[in-house]
Amino acid sequence: MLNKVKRIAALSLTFLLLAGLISIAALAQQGVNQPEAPGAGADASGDRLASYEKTAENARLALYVNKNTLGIKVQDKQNGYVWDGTLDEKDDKLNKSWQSLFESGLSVEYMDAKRKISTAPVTGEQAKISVESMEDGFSANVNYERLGISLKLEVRLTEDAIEFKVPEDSIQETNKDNRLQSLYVYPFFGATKGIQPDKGYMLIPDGSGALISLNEQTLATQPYIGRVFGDDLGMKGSPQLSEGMATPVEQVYLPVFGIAHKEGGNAFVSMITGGAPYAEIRSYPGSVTTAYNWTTAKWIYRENYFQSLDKEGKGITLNQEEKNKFDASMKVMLLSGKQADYSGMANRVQSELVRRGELPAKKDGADPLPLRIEFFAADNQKQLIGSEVIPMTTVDQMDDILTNLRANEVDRMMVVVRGYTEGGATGASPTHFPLEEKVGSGDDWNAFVEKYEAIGIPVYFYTDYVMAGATADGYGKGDIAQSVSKQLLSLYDMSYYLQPAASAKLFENEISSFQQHGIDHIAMDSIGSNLFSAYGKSSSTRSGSIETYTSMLPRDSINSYAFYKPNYYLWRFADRIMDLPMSTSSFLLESEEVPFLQLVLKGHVDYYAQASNFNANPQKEQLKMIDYGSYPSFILTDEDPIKLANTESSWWLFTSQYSVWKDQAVHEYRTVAEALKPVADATFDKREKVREGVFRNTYSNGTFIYVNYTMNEVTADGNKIPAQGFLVREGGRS
Amino acid sequence: MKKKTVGRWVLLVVIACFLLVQISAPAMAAAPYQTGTEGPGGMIVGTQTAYEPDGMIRLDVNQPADLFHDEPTGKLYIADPGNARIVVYEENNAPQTIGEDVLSNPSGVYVAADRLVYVADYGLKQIVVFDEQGKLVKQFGRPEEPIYGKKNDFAPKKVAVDKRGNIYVISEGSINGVVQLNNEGQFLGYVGANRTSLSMKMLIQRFIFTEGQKAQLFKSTPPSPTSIVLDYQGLLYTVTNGISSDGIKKLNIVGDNILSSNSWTSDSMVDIDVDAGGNIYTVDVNGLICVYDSFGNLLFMFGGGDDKYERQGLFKSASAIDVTDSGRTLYVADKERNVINRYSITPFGTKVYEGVDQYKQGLYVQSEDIWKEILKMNSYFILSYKSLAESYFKQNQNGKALESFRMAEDKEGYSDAFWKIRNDWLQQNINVVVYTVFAIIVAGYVIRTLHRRYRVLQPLVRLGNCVAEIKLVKEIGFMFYFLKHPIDAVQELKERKRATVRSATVLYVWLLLLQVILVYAKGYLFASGDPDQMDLLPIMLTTAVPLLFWVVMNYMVSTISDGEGKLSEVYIGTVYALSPYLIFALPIALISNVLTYNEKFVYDYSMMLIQGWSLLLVCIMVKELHDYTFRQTVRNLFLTVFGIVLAALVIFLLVLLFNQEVEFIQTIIQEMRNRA
Repeated sequence: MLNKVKRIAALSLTFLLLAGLISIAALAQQGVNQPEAPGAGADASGDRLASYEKTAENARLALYVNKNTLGIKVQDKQNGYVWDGTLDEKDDKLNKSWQSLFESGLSVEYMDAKRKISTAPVTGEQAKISVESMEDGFSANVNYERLGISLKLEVRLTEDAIEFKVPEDSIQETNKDNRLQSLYVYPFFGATKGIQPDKGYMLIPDGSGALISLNEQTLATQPYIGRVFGDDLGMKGSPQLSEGMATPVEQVYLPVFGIAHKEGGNAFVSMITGGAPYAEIRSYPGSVTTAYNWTTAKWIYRENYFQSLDKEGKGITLNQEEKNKFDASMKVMLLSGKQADYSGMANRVQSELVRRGELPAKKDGADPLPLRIEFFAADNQKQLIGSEVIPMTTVDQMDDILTNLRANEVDRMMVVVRGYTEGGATGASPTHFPLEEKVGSGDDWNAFVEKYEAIGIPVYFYTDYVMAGATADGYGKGDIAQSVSKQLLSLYDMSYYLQPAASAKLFENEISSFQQHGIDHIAMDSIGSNLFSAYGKSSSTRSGSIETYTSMLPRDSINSYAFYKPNYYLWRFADRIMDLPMSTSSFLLESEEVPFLQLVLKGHVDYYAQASNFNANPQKEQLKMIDYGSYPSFILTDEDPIKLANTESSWWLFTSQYSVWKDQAVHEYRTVAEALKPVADATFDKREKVREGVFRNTYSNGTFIYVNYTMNEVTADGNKIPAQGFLVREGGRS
Repeated sequence: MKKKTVGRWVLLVVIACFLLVQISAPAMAAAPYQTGTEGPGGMIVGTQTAYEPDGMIRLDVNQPADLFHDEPTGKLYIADPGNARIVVYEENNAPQTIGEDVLSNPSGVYVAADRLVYVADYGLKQIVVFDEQGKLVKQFGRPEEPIYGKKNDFAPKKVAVDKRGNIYVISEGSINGVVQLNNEGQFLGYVGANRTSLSMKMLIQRFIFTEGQKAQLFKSTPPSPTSIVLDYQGLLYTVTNGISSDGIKKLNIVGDNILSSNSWTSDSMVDIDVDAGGNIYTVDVNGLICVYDSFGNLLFMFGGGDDKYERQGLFKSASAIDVTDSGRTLYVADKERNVINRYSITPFGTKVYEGVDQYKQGLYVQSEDIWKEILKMNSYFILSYKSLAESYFKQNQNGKALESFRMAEDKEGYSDAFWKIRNDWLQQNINVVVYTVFAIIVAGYVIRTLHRRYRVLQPLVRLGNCVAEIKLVKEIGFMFYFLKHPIDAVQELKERKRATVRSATVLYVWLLLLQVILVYAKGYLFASGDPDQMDLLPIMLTTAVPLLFWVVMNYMVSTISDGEGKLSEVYIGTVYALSPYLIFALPIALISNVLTYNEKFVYDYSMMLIQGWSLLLVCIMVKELHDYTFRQTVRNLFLTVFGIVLAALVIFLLVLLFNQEVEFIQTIIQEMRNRA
């Protein structure tokens, strides 16, 4: 059976190729056939659009719809390529539920009276569909009569993109027994079947970005499921300590995904534009569950949560009463030719973010600061009676260290100070004043900040208004966020998550203190990487939390913000991004990790890698920074961190003494900063693999940076690139 | 359900097509786990990645049970019980199989020095031997020698073979340890049995329980080892799943465990291996991989389970570990995912091994630079301090050695270094010491003479008398009388009230304070831990609560057994009876600061002495206070102790019940709130 399908596929492919060779132009004009068939449509011929009617068209695209299944096809008129929104054929190997999910343009999941969750695709459930044409697309009223659930789907063409939208106010639930749980819109869009001959891939937003190959067999047996902006602790409850040493999986910082059928051929990138905090990105490589490769978004209207009833943790599973309120919408941007790869996807997302005002334009004339020095000032250690503050780096010592660095020609950098609060780093959050006298007085700080601001070295003060140390004060029990099951949200009982409103209030209260000390650069931890709904006295939805976080950052009193690992909704406030992920969660289904976030951000916001102190392989990490356009960071102390052995910082701060790290810091500054200097203001246009382990990065000013991770010298484009080294070829234009 | 079968079906097709699929890790991926090492005080601290995931090998195996990396050929032998065979994997070559028609349930595999492949087959209950080409050479089952034990089954799980061809077999359920056979399959003996541990609770249970109950409870036969390996010296290593201490054993020729480290070990280890340098690698059922040096000090800890996600280098259920001779590459099998994870060492890991190797050979001074380098990369790397301390000690840099020994918490080493320092100091300052002592004696004599003649010290004496006249001081001074004449003292206490509740309270307060002061005052070598890591309340409560119980219970017992003492008198008498401790404990603790372990007996005996003395005084106090005969005293003491235990038990039960009650009410409220 399989062989037969293969043979037919091969035959028709050959036929198509031949036909294509003979009259490409004619075919393009007919606008129906295509030069390269995607897997799903491999058996298609002229009648691929037979049951479809054209509803809208613009300069670039034409949209076809099947009014029974809501199936769509989108044709890229530039090259005639047709994108399938749904599965048209009957696939014997799929069971009924998969078949109907794939052939339906829209599916919902619902919970019935027996608390069973089922999927209802429009075809399988025989929902009543009425399609109305609009100028730029169509809208469809979908009514699941049996379930008592109805909603409206809008599909529009805009320039190079298709936009899907399910407005919040169109959703109606008339049967109390059936609750809407989640929604899929065109989950099958751009799907392919099996292993393809062309080099194609699916892009998932895991960490810095990862590719799932379409032309290699995967060993994975599980799909990728990434909740946008991480799990909602408000629903899940406090995170649990994992057994073993596994690090938490990376979260989705930017809600995008994409599929390239063929690099340099055709591709698309989708961005979730509405309901992102409630969305999940799912990617199924072929052979995981079905033979199809597909990636989609799933919007969640209701979640199950666990309500514990006693201390031992026994309890019941409940379903969210109120459904989440949001317009589910997504923009699918089509790419072709040279743009049809992950760099092209990143560029397209970049321009989309700029258009939406979510990515700031680079400040003109701003001197790049290609090194982050983070000073750890002090921490406290428990004693038999009370506790003792251990100063690690005083203001004077910071001054000495910076002076010394500058004497070594390290003069463009940014500085972050942490642990400056009374009681040191552990006692710091969520309030940051008064200052720790053992580190420096207010006057010392004033002088220090003033001195370095004057010579163009900004001093950022580290703050955390989201995580409050369990032993710290400055907040009340009412300020702690609660989960939906009324549990206090805590990180391993060591610190609490605060209500977003409390975070905003705490920051507002401290702004005057910062101003008083001449501080107008703030580095914020946790706020960008934690997004949770909160319950209890003052409650907040997940999107409400974004609202609170983005409106608590005044620009008049604070000159500049830097965020640690921020989700993208904070990017527009960010002058700098710290600890931007340089890697992925290492999921088995990933065939390659790529600097997708870096490709989007470069040229708009400067980003810094995690502190180099902790790298086991400095040479490799340094190359990776050059490859990713990422500036190096160091966390420094004047004293030996062994002094912190009995503090809470000992787990992570195991090496930081300046005398130990001085040479490496100077070295990385000279290497990485020097390599990235020609592209400081450029955008990162393209990253290509020249061969295994060798990359060519192209920047907007025409500069090329070659990176060679292999152990041998290689030649690329006539340039010799040393083993484990790099080469910068500056562009003519600037 | 259906989805799953579809997935499996597709997978089978894929495997059938390729038989072998190998993928490598995504380029440059960071390890999805944190690496830990041993820091000060045995705590686990983070460190740089020592091993990175380096691809995954998926072969057509079903529940791989054991791995063996054959160094000369570079082949990896995999026991594949699900398919009843041994799979031999070689990079870039099609895998081969061994014993497909012979084996039934192979769970252990070992390639001996003579190139023979030994397989422990749990199904056949045999050791099966093949040559390199896979031809059956010999097989043998349960030893027939009577000393093997009539009842003992032979259920081989793991096998190892030494250079002389002796075979070591782990037989499931063997309480006697590892079965040792010669190369003809004749039984030689058992080695490396585990011991059952007896806890205090079990001892008590054994004492109280009936035979029937005992039979139910004490089915505790010692667990049999889970896996074995031999190193190049022929030393045998075992790991045992399910025991929390001595989980790893390194056995010498006589069968004694020569590992003495207190490093953390998992209590669910499933396999062990050693590299050529003697470093020990273990993996537990969750996939947590630990590396120890040849002395058993924890070097690295990484990996672990990840049920929810499929991530490179993490596990669903690990079953076997094997390492190349150099220790640069690790292979670890996941028996649920049917894959073998490969790891390769980082530059940081390499550096640590260099240091470890020199340390093992005793090249302390030569390794100094490496360890200093490692210390730069991780200030908490405790082994560095150990190694550096030895180096400094060798070079007579005793001050530095002292500091490093303290960091490493090596008290023996600290003691030696301190002895040297003290010795040096004494040698240099012997004159000063002698002169000072002499001068003090002379000065004392002179002053006394002067005082006798001219009353120079009269003001001081007067002051002293004044102070002594204060009632409270007088009462406290009664302590010294109590020390010397306890019998009279108790009488005076009863009749002349020479001590009061007030003075006793002062002494009780001193006792509590003393307990806290002692924590700080004791020398490092004699202290029970870092004072800053202790809590004030427990220190005080562990003293105050037993005393409180004692006073109350003793009084109550005495009232029902013709005792004369009043509650206040018991209260006063008790603390006065502790006088030796109140007076001498602090000086002894202070002296301990200048003692080394060579003079440990001085400290131990004097402490014992004052404690014994105090105890004796308490007994005398009880006898005299209640006017008891010897027999009555003994009876009273026993009853008091019994009463204390009983009271503690009752209070414990009450607290427990109260908590249950509170929780019960809370649950009801919660439930009503949620259901309503």
